[in-house]
Amino acid sequence: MDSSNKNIRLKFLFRFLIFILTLIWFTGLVSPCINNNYLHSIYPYLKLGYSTVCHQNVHKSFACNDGMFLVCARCTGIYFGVLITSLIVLIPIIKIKIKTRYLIVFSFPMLADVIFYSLGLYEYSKIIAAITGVLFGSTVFLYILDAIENSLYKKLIKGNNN
Amino acid sequence: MPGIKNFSCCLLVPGAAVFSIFLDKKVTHSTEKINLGKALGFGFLTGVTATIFITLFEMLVTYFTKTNDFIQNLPQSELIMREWNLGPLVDESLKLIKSMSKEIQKSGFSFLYLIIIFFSNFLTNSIFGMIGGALGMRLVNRKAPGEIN
Repeated sequence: MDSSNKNIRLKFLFRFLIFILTLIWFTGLVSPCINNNYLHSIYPYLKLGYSTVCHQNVHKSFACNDGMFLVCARCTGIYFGVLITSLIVLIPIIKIKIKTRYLIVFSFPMLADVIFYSLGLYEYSKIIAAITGVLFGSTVFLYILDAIENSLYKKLIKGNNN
Repeated sequence: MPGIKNFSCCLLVPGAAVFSIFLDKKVTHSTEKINLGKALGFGFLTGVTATIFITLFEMLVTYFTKTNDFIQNLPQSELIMREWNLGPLVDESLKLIKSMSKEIQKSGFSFLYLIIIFFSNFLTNSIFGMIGGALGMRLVNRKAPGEIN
C-alpha cells in the first residue's frame, strides 16, 4: 500500500514538474502580453531563443501590446494544447485512453490545413492554425506522457520488487 | 531549409528523432521493445546533430550575406520596445545586441552571436529531440492502448 501511494505521489510530482516547465515555456512565448518591464526588456533575446523552434512569420503570428507572439499561431496552438492537457492530467479522477488511432485522427486537421492553404484552396487563418495546433498538441502530449510514464512505472515496479 | 522550416516549424527535430528510431529498428532488425533510455538517447543525439548542422549553416549563410533574420528583425524589435516605454532599460538591453549586429554587418561573424545561437539551438533541439525520441518509442512499441490515469 505504501509503495502504491509513493508511486502515485511520484507520478503527480512528475506531472506537476512537466506542467511548470510547460507554463514557463508558454509564458515566454506570450511575453508581449505580460506587462512586466524586465520581461519586455529581454524581448530580442527571447525572440532569438524561440527562433530555433519557429519561423516567427509576422503574418502568421498573434499580436498583443503591439508586439508579436514569439512563435506562429500554429505553434502557439500546439503549446497551448500541451499546457492545458498538462493541467488536466493533474486531476487524478480524469482517465483518458490513448491509442495511436487518436494521434492520427487529431493530427489530420493540422496536416490538412497545412496542405490546403499551401495549395491555395483558402487563405491562411490564424484561428484555424491555432485550433488544429491545440488538437495536435494535446493528443501528442498525452501520447508522449503515456510512453514516458509506462517506462518509468515499469522501472518503479521492478525497483519495488527487488 | 527555410522552406522546410516554414512547413514543419517546431516539428522538424522531433520528426527527425522519430525517424531515427524507425531507422534503428530497421537496421538492427530487432524485435525487442525500445526502452526509454535508448529512445531519449537517440532523441538527444538527433538534437545535438541538428544543433551542429543548423549552427554551421546559419554561420555560413551569415558570413557570406553579412546579414540574417535576427539583424533584419532588430529595428522592428527596437521599435516595439520603445513603444512599451521601458525607459533606460531599452538602451541597456539593446547595447549588446547592437554591438553584435555591427560586428556581423562588418565582418560577417560575431563570436557572441555564435555562442548565443549554439546554446539556444542546443537547449531547444536536445529537449525537442528527446520528446521526439519518446514519441518514436511509443510508435515503435505500440500494441496495446495506453491509459492515462
